[in-house]
Amino acid sequence: MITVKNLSFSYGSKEVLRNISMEVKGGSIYGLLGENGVGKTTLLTLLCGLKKPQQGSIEVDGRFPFDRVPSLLAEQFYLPDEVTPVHAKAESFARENGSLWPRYDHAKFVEILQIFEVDPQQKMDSMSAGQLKKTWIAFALSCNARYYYMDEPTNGLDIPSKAQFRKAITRYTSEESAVIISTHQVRDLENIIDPIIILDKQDVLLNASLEEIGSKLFFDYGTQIQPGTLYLEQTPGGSIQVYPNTTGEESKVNLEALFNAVHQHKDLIKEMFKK
Amino acid sequence: MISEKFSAQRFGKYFKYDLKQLWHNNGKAAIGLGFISVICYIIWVSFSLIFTGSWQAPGIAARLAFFYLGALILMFYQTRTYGYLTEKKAGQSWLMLPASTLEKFVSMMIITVVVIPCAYLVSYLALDAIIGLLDPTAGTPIIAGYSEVSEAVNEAMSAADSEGFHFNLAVLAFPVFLQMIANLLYFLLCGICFKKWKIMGGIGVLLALEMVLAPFLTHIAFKYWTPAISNYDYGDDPVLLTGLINSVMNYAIVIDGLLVVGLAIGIYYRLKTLKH
Repeated sequence: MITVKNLSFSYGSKEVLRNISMEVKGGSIYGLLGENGVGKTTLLTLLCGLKKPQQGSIEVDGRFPFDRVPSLLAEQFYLPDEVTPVHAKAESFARENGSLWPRYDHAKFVEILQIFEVDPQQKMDSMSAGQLKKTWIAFALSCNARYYYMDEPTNGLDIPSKAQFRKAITRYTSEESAVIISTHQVRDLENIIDPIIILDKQDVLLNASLEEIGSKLFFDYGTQIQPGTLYLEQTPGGSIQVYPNTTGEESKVNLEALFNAVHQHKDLIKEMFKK
Repeated sequence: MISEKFSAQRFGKYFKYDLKQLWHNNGKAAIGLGFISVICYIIWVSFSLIFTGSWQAPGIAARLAFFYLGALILMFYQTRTYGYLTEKKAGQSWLMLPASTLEKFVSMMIITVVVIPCAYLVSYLALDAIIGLLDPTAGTPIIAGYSEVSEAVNEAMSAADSEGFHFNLAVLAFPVFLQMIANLLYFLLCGICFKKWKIMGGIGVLLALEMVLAPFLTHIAFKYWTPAISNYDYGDDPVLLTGLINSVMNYAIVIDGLLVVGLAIGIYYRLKTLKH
């Protein structure tokens, strides 16, 4: 389990994260959402130990990520937004790097690359941005880590690849793995991310499962405008409204509408989801 | 339970990985640098043909000079070996590799101080030997001439010995060896500290340090050493002169040793605190 307590981080005088506290449990694919510049990437790099918390603490199963102890490094994988074009064939790159991860499975790497339709014999520095990203995703999933931190993993992927990514991430991560995906492309990942973390400037606005969100908010796709609506968006076929769920009726959560509703009613939403 | 600081098994895997990365990235260049012997040989012979009209290959002394030129380039080249650590993408990937900082540091030290210089040495000497075999005018290859050089040094030592100068060759050579290691480590440290202008930055820092330290060192030398040395006529007393040279060399060993240790600590600290 990842426990973040009163975490603060600044770049010089620019404060990015202030007093952030949250918990991340295994067995879930978390969606980390937020506007540009709210510190999503910073939070991910802090969680994996690339940066040192300036205040507060992060513990991953009782270990501090910035200590970068091998036992924790072997259990995690950070996939940045921009990945390295290594001067080697995908297959040999994976075999060499994978030797350092105790649970690395090379057959799995080749299998995922097949799903992604990438040639394992192709040199990585001659790949397109999308192919390179898919190779790194395949390698990450083959490491069989417990904690995955993925920053905008669908950036640069074409439409079929996005579907392949969803398939791979659900099929090839173990049940105890915790995957945190930072993304702006909520539609790409709508059906796989649960719970949702919405980060605001210096605050966590929401950290809740889709079930919990559905029990407290109702997503109405009808045309009749309801009183007390938190968010309303006209769509070609009607509208999407978000309002407090007073009846307990089930509805399909729309992540874009949820994000906008949360941003327009920060205090109300925080109060609703207070644990 | 496997140690978090150092595990021989994990280190073995990491070192193997590091060697492969070296081969993919900069290792070939270290071997390629050995071709400086061929390039210099061609330039030398070409100039000889143009200006004297005769075929004249460089002698062993010139080829040794080329070797030192290559070694100088190799020293600056150390900024590139692990220079990628300061780049965001490659540096992040490296930091996230499951090995301890100590294991990564030890591997880095072995590669910098042993593997790369040896690769250069072997490739240079091999190519020099091929030149020597193909062109008889080039004279003895350096590798074959080693015994001659060694013999000459031993003769000089014996001659000095008979005059009453008792020098220890190991003591005389060790500071040079330590200096070479210090130079390699210094430019390695520059490579993992400076994001840009790694070589120029390294040279700049050296110049700045020299400007700051030179007045103090000169002051110390004039205040303490000069009077001590000028009290004796060393030229007439081999025992005193031997003692002076040996003591200077011992100081050099201590200072260079401290320099190597200091640089190694600096490199380890940099790896430990590297952030992206």
